[in-house]
Amino acid sequence: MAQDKHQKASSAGKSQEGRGGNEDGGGGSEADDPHKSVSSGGDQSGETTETGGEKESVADDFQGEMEKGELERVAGFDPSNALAEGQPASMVTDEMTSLRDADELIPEFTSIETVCGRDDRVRVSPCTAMPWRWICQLFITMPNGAGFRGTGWFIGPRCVMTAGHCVYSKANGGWARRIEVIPGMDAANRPYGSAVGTRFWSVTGWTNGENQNFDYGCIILPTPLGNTVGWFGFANLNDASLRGMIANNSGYAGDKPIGTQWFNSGTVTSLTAQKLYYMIDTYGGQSGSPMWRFANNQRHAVGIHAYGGCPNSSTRINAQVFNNMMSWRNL
Amino acid sequence: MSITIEGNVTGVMETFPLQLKVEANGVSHHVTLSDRTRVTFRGAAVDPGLIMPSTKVRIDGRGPAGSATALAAESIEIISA
Repeated sequence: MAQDKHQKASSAGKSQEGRGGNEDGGGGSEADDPHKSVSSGGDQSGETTETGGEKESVADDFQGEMEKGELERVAGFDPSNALAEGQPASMVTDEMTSLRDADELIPEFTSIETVCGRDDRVRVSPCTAMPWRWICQLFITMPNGAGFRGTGWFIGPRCVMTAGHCVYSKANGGWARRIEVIPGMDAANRPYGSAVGTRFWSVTGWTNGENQNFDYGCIILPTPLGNTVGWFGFANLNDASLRGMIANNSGYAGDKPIGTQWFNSGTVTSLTAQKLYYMIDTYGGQSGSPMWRFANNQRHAVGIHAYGGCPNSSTRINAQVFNNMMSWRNL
Repeated sequence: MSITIEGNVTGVMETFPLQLKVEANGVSHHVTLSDRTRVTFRGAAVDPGLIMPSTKVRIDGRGPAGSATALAAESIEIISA
């Protein structure tokens, strides 16, 4: 039953409420916990719980109430291009497991573009299959009138994950005034309509200090659009699982026709307790897009893309991020 | 208020248009690009996607009253990659 799956979450070896080691140095007292969640309405969460250490935590995806079971394929995406750049890409099928280890490949990190080396991005169209319809174009309006485009993705009926800087920017007046969320947007087509979010969450590590390590947040929609389109699972994986992992990314790149979604994949080349780094091609407009693992027909986000730079980087879904996402997804 | 800063990019936030963190004279500035921001390298207009962490830039822009660290970029010159 779908509703059961909405609530499904597991933590290998430890409950969600349990506390463990602090792998990030992001803990400490409640007062200075940079993962303490805060909302645009002034709400604050309690102290974040930690599942920490080498334990892994997983919340499963939901296919939506429309249809189930598509294979994830992107016409025109050539994984050999990414291999030539030193990144083993895949067609996002189970064949990914047969790819060579990243250590065997020669990196080619010579370009000074956010599109790293050869541009391997391919357009996703239409965006009505999974997981593309879970991914949303964002039209962001900040309090000072500045407008941005970004990307978000559903993790629950009304919760759309994105980068912290998409929902809060001190320089642009603080919390966003409004963000229009358009799942599966494909050029002028809005197959599921849109919703406007005016309620946002992030964490104090971002809203107080704009520390890149804590650059994540979410949009709470007034309507449960996620029940229609479905949503990503997400996972707090340990270093061994993440290092060299094939990761997928898709988002609304600003150098392409407005409202078009672009896919790329490659390996996680390095990581810290709070960030993932990769040479997967991205561009402005893809802030907030999901970095996800596809395995056993499940899609689990492991990072929230936020920064360009070759390597490009995302906020890692570590134990504290995972726990906040678990709290936010049912708001 | 017109502002000119020269410093190194420390972060490239991938909204569209981009937002940058630029360290200049020991101070971190938040730089917002717009679709009117002109980005140049050696006198030629270039794609803003060329801006990377550690890129040295000179930025002319305008800042809101009361803030010395936020500016909306009118032009960005890439001095060195």
